Amino acid sequence: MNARSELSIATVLIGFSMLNYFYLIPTQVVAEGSSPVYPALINTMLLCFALAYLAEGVRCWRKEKLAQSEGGSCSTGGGKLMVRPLAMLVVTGAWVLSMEYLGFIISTFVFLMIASRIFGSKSWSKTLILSVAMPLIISFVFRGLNALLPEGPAEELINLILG
Amino acid sequence: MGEIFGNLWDGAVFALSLWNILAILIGYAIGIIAGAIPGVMAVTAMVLILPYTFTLEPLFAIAMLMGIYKGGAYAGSITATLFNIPGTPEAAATALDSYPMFKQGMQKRSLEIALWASVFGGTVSNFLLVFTAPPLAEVALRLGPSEIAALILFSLTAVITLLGDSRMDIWKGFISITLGLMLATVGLDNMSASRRYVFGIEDLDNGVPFVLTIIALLALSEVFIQAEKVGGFTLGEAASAVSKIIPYTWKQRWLDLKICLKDLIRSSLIGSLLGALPGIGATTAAFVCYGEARRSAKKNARFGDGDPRGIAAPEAGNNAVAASSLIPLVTLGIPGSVAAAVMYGAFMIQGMIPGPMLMMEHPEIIYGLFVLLIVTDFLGAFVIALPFISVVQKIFKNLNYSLFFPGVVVCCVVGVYAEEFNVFNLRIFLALGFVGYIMRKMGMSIPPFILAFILGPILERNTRTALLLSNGSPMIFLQSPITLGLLILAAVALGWSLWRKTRGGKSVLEVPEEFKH
Repeated sequence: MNARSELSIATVLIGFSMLNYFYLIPTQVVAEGSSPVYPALINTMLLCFALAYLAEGVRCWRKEKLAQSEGGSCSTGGGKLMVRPLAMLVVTGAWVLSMEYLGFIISTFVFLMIASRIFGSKSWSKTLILSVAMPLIISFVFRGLNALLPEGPAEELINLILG
Repeated sequence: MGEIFGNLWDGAVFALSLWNILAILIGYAIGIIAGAIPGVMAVTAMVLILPYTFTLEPLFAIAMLMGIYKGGAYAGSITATLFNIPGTPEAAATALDSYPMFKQGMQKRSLEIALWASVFGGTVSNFLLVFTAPPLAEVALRLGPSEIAALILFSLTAVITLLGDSRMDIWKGFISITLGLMLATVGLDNMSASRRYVFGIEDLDNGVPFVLTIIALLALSEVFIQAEKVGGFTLGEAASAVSKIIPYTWKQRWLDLKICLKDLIRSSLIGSLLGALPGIGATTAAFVCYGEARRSAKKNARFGDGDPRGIAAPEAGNNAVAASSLIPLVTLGIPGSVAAAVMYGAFMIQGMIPGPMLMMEHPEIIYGLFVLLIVTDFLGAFVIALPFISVVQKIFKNLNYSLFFPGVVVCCVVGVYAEEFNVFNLRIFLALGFVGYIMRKMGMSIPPFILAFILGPILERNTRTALLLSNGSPMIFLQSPITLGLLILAAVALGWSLWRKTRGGKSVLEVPEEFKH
């Protein structure tokens, strides 16, 4: 990460701290009848550390400007967000949200098919075997334990078959 | 001393059942597989198993988790040796000499040195835990709320100041801790039972579930990180480079023991001491031990080219961390590492709170745990690890990562769902997983966040109780010499590390950048 990103993150944290002081603590803590002392104490700590982080970011930014020709940096962190993790997030989110409506077996089947492609799976047959076997095995294990996973058309069909 | 041996005997009678031994073996096998797979750590396997321990017997569940922990601590060296790809970050130090030894055809020698060093380091650390825990627990029982609050603050500060490599790292570490403390305040106020930060959502009244949080932050964020590295692992190529295999004779074993003994003892002690400090971790211990072995060796040593001491020292060091990192947990109720935090969760799931009270009221459980720890190293090594070494190469050459990681996500989601059978928890899980990923991309460390999240309620309860006792006066934190001493120590540690970074000094606990969590 470059110094500019570090400065942006520090600013966001300071902004969050302010929001917490002036909106969240009054509406979500005091209004509910709880003591604001401890949350305010933690928030003050966050503000102090975020300010120190901001100051360090400014120092870094100056240093980077001076050493621009040498390409030096005092920032830490891993850099930009990548497409594949974001795709995984979206797919996992869609799976979790659809589980209540489609049931565990169908939603997990679709999730595994797509997620393995995101992870670069080239073999359709292996992907298909995993996508079918894993939800079915988990579903039967839960059934054996008398625990319920979200149900949908596939589970209803299995219920009909098994009586 | 006599009392400790008596308690150990009672613990052995209580814990050494066939089922518990089976639990150790199952756990060790899972730990070996998880620890050997690059990108998956033993802690990840512990986290995945954790929600399923609800239905298990307390000692069976804890024995299994300990088996995973110990198995994983050794297993990282397997792929480090065979493929030059450390299964766990701490095995990176081992790879510096184990892979060159493997390339010379001495695969069995390299893996066995790593295994025996692990058993040696683990055993020294186990005995250190057994003999230091009881006196420390007695001291811990005399601590009041202000002392406990100061102790937690000191632990959290130590985690950051010992590991930060730059001032930026230190501030990020503190922000990570503060965010963890903030997340812990969500839900009902633990003193007045009124709601905080729940935004009218009843599902949040009990706070953010602990198991969900660590699975999201450790396992799900790791899957997101691994998604960036698609195609990055090529295990097969490295392993196919060796054609001749040299047998490992008993004479050679004896010679290796003689060469390595001094380093084994020193590294086991260093690893045990570093492990007892909160937040140091096995990776740092392994590199410190490797550095010490190299520094103390004669000039004709072959470090970096397959020297047995270069394998024995880091392996003994990183395995010694495993048991000694439980010292703060069983004596003070403060988990000093992420693995200890998972163990803390396992105790809580079983309705027990680890700490001095548990040690005094149910010594058979704690001493039973100690006995199981001692047994785990030997049983795991002989029954699981040795036979596993012969088949390991085939297994990992054929591992399909593109199917493995989606499968891990399914296990995570099912585990989280099974905890409370609540779909809402899955949404929090997903959000926290992404937060964990963003934090890691920003260079913020996850372990301090988790430790702060776990310790947050204890810190709050003790801080507020202390303030109630003093009628709201913060002077109570300056009146007790222990509290004052701990707060001064925390401030000095912070000041010293900031000063050291300002002067541009390098940490003595130096770990290469690519192996940091």
